[in-house]
Amino acid sequence: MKIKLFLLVFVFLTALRGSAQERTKYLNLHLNNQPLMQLVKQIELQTGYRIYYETAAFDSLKVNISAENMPVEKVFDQVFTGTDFYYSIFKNAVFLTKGKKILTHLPSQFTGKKEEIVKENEQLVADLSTKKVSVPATLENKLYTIGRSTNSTKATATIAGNVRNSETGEPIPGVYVFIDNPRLGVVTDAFGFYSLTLPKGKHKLNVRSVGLKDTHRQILLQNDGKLDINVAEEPFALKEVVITTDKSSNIRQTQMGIEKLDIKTIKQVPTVFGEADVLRVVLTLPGVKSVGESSTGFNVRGGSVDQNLILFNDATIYNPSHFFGFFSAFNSEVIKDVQLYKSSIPAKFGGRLSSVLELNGREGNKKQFSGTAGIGLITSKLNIEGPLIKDKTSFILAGRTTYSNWIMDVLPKSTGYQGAKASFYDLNLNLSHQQNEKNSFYATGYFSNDKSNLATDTTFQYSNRNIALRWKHTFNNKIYGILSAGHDYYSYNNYSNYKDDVDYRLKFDIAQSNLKANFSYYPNVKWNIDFGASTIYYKNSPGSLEPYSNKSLVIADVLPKEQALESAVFAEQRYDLTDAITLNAGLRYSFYSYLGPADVNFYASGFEKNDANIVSVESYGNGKPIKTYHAPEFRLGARFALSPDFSVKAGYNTQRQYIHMLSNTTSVSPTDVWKLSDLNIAPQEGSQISLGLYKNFKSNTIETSLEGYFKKINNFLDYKSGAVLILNHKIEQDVLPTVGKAYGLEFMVKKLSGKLNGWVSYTYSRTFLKTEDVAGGNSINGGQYYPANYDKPHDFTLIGNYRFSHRVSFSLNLTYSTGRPITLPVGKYYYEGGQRLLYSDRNQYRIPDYFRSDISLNVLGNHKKAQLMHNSWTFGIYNLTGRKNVFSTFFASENKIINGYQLSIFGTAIPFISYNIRFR
Amino acid sequence: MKATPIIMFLFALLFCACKDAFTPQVDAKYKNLLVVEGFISIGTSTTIKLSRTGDLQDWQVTVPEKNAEVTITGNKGTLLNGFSGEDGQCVLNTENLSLEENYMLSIKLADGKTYQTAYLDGKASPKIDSLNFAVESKGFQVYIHTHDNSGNTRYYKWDYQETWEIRSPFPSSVEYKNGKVVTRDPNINIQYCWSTSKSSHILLETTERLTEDKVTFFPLIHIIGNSVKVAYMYSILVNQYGLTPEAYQYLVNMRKNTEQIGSIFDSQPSELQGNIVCTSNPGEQVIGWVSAGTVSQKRLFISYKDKPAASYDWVYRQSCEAFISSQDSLLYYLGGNKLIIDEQLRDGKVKYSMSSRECIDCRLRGSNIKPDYWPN
Repeated sequence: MKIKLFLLVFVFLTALRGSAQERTKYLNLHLNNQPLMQLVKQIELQTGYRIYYETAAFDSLKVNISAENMPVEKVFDQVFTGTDFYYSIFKNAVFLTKGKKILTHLPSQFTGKKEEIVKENEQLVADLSTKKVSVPATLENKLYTIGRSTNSTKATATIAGNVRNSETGEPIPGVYVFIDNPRLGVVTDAFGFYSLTLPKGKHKLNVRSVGLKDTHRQILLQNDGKLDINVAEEPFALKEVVITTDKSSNIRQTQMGIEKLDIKTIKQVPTVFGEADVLRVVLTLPGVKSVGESSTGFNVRGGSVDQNLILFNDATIYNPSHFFGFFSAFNSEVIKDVQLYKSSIPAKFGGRLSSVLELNGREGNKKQFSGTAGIGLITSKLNIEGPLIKDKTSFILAGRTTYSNWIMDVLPKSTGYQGAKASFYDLNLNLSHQQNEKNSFYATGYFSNDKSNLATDTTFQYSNRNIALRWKHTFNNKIYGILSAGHDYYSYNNYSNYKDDVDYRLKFDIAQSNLKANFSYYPNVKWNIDFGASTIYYKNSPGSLEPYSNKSLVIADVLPKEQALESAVFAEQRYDLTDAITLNAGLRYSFYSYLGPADVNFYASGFEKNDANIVSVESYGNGKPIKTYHAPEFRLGARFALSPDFSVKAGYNTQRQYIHMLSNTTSVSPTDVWKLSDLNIAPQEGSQISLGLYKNFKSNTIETSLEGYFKKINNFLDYKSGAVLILNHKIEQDVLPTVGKAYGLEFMVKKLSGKLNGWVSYTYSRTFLKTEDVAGGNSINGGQYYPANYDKPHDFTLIGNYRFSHRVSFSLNLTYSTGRPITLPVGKYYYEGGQRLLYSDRNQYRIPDYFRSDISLNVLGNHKKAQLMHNSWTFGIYNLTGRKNVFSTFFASENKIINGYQLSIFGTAIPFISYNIRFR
Repeated sequence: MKATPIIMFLFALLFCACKDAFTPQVDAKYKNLLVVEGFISIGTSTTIKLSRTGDLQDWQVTVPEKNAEVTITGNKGTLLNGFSGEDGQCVLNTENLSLEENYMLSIKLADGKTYQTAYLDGKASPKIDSLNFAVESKGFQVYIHTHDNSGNTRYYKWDYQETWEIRSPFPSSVEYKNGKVVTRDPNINIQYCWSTSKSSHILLETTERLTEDKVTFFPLIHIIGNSVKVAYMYSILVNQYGLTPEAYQYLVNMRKNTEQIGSIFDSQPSELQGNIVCTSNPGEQVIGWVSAGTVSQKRLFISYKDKPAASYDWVYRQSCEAFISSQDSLLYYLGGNKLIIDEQLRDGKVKYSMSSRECIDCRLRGSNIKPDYWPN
C-alpha cells in the first residue's frame, strides 16, 4: 500500500511540470501484441497528452488494438477491458494505474460516493504533504509474467531459472525458492539452478538463503517459463533485518549427515599461522577426526583417510595437503563453499566408502575486474577475477606460495624439523561461460606442488594436476543435464642425493580420466529424479626406483603399470509422499575391470598367499580384462516431518571402493602409494545405517540435530608385520584383508545468523578393525577386534563468532577429544648389545586427551563503497592455553637405556597475523 | 607488513621445546618371555645368550635364564651341548662345524620346557674389504666397506668391540697401606689401562636393490674428537655376518621397534615371529632369531696423532686437580675417595699431594692388562 501511494506522489510531482501543448483527441492506431510503451508513444505523438505510469506494473500487458479516429478514452477503455488497469485524464495528463483509479476531482460528500475511495484520496493528500521519500527495491514489486497465456487446461506450470549474485553474477547454490500458500519450494543446485512446478496464477516467490538479503518476486504464472533472480548479498546481519527466513533446510531435506560450510564461516575459524584452512574447519565437524593436528587427510565416521572422495569442482584430489599435512592444498580465496556427505551419499557419487567432500570453486566476477591479495606468516596469495565477456564469461585466477622456511628454522631443534625445507605453491583457474540461456560451460584447472625435506637426506616432492570441464545444458524447465570430463593426476618424485652410490629416485603416479553425464529431472514439485552414468579410466604407476645419477649403484626397479576401468550407472529419486513424508531411493550399479597387460599370480584358494602357494602365473595382453567386479550400491533415505520444525530421518547406504591406499604408518606418509583392486586384492565394501532427529528453534535460527550410525567395512587393507609396501611386486602376499565396524552418536547445535553465531558439537564414536588372515599367524592382535588409529570416543568442538560491529568480530575455537590409541611398550629385553622393547597388542593404550583453544580478532577497514581497496587484518592466537598436546610418543635407545618421549608439534601459544586486500 | 618482524620475534620467543620425556603409565604386563640371542659361528666359538623379558620399570638390565641345556644338532651327525651359566650364557666350541652342514639349535629349560629352531642354512660372510675412518662432524667416523663377487650375501649385519687406552694423569709412587704411607708396588699397573665396550645398535645393510653386492662407506660409529676413547689410542674390532632375508627382516623390525618408532611417518610397532618355537607349548611367543654362518673380522686403530687439530673439540679433558694436604688431614681426604700422588717435605713438614681416585688409579675405568694386539 505504502509503495503504491508513493508512486502516486511521484506521479503528481512530475505531473506538476505540465504541458501546454495543443492536443487532438482522436487516434489512429494499429497495434498487435505490443507492449504498453508503444501505445503510450503513439498517444503522446498523436495527441500531445502526457502519460504517466509505472513501467513495471504494466510490462505484462500486451496491447491489441486497431483504431481509426478513436478518442483516447475509448482506446483505453478497449485496452484495459477485463484487466486490473485504470486510466484517469486530468487536463493534458493521463495517469495509468493498476488496481485503483485516480480520482481527478474531490468527491462531493453529498453525492454519496463510496467511502473507500474518499479514504484513498485523503491518504494521498496527506502523503503529498510529507516529503519522506525512500527508495524501494523496485524489482520486488514488479509483476513478472511467466509464459504466455494459453487455453491450456493444465492447472500447473513450471518456472525455472538461475539465482545469481547481483554484484558479481556468480550463481548461488543452496538458495531456497518457495511460495507460501501452498508451501512449495526447492533449493537451488550447485549451479544456482531451480525448477519449481506451481499452480498457475499469481504468486509471491520467496528467495531465502543464509548470507543473502531476503527477497521475493511477484509472478503471474501463465505457463512454463524462465525467471532468473539476482540477489544482493547481505553485507552483515544488520539489526533491522528481521529474521523470518526459512532456514529449516535441515528439517526438510531427506538426506542426512550433510554438512555445509560457506567460505565466510571457514575464514572466521582461527587456524594455526592464520591460514584460512578448509580442511581444518572440516575437522571440527561432528564425525570427522584425524590422527593428529598436522596430518594429511581426515577420517569420517570410522573410515580411513583413503575412503574420502575429495572433489574440487568435480576434479578428484588425491593429496589435499601441503607440507605433509600442515596446510591444506586449497586456496580459500577460490572456494565458494564446502559440502561434506557423511552418510547419505547421493547416487551420483561413488568410488569411496566413507564420505564425499565437495569443494565448490567460485566463479569469477562477471561484471567487473577485482582481486584480493593476502599476506600471512606462511603464504602470500593473489587472486584476480573478472569478465572476459561482460555478463557472459568470467575467469578467476589464484595463486599461493609459501616462504615458510624460516618457520622451520625457529622450530626447536628437538622436534627434528630444524633445517627442514619446505616450498609449495598452488594455482587455480576457473572459467565460466554462459553461452545462452540453455548452455553454460565451466572449466577448472588446479595445480599444486610440494618440495620439502624433514632435515633428512630425502627430498619429498609431490604434485596434483587436475583439469575439469563441464557443460550444463537445460533442455527445458523440467530437465537439465551436466556433461563433465576431466583428467586428474597425482604423483610423487622423492629423491636422495647425499651419497653417490646409493642415491635414488622413488616415483609414483596415478592418473584418472573421467567422463560423467548427470541429468536432473523435475516432473513435478513433489518428485525429482537424478540419473546418469559415469566412467573412470585409471592408469597407475605403483612405483619405480631408479638411480639418481650414473654414479649410483641402485638397480632400477619398476612395478608394472596398472590400468582399470570403473563405470557406473545411477538413478536416484526423491518423492514427497505427503507433506510430512519424503522418500529417497537411489541405486548405483558399478562395474570395475582390472585390465592387462599384466602377469598375474594365481594362488591356491584357502591357503596363505605366499610364493609356495602360487599355482600358476598367467599373462594377459594389453586391455584384456583380468578381473571384473560389479555390484549394486543402494542409497535409501526417508524423512518424516513431525512438525515444520521437527523431523526424523533414516538412511541406509552401501558403497564400493576399487582403489586402495597402501599405508602402514599412523598418518599418511609422503611415500604412500595407491593400488588398484586386482585379482588378488578385492574392492572395499561398506554399508551404513543411520537415524537422525532434527529440531529447529527460534524461527529456525537455531538448528539442532542428533544422528546415530552403524557402519561396516569389508576388505579394508592392513598389513603383516614387517610388510614392505613400496616396490613390492607381490603386495597381495603382505596385505591382510580387514573388516571394520564403526558406530557413533553425533549431537550438534548450530546458529549461523545473528551477531553471535557458530556451532557446538559432541560426538561419541568407536571404530574397530579386525584382520582376517587365512593362515592366522600374521593377524594383528591374534585376529581380534582392535581400535583403529583414529578411534577417539569423545569429541567436543565449539566454534563461536561474535560480531561487535560491522568491522570487528571475534572468534573462538575450542576442541577436546580423547587421545588417539597407540601401541606402547610393555616390556623390555636385552638383544644385540642394547635394550629392546616388547610391544603391547596394537592400539591397546591411548595418548593423553587433546585440548586446544584458539582465538582471533578480525578487523575490516572502512566500508566506503567507492574506495578501490578494502583491507582487513586478522590477529589471533593458536593454542591459547599453550597446552602441549601430544601428537605422538616414541621410545629411543640411548646409551643402552630406553627413554620414552612425547612429541607435540604446536606445544605453545602461537600468535599470528595476516593482512588481506580486496581491490578492483 | 611492518608488523612481521615483531611477530616473528614473538614467535621465536614463544616456541618452546616440543619433545618431552614420556613415562607411560602402563600396567605391569610382565610377560616373562624367553629371549634367545646367538649366532652359530662356524669355525670359532658360539655364545648363546638366554634371558627373559622384563617389565619396563625393572632395574635389571637383563634377566638371565640359568641352567638351560643348549644343543646344536647337525643334519650330518654333529651334536654339541652345554648349559647356560649364571649370566644365562652358554659357550660352545663350534670350531669344527662346516658350511656344508645345516644346524639346529634346541633348548631345554630347567623347568622342562623345550624350544628349537629349524635346520638353519649357514651363510658365509665375505671378507671385509677395508675399515677406515674420516674426520667428520668434529670427530672420527668409522666406515666399513665390503663386497661379495658371488652376490650371495646381500644382507649384512655388523657388531663391534671398541677398546681404548686410558692413562692416569697423576702417576702415584706411594700408597696408604696398613696405617702407613708406603711406596707402591711398581708391578701393579695403575697408570695404563684399557677400557672396552660393545656395540649397542643393530647395524644392518642390504644390497638387494644394488647391481653389485657391494657395501661402501657404511657408517659404523662416530667418535667425538674430545672423547676419552681417542685421547691416546683407540681400536675397533668389527665382526661381519651374512644373514638370510628373514633374519635380516626380523632385525630390521626389532631395530625399528626400538630405535625408530613414533616419528610421524614411521610404521606402527609390531612384533615379528622369531625363528625359535616352543615345542612344548606351541602358542608361546619366543623372541630372537638364531642364524648360522661364518664371521669375518677386521680391526682398526685410531691414534691421537690422527687428530686434525689440538683445539677444544679435539682435546680430551679430565677434570683432575692435585692439591696439597697436611699430615693431619690425610685420613680425612683418604676417606673422601682421594689417593696420594706423592710425599714431599715443605717447610720442614711432611705434606702430601693428592688427587681423586679416578685421576690416579685407572683400574676404576678399565682393565690394567694390556691386550695382546695393542701396539707399542
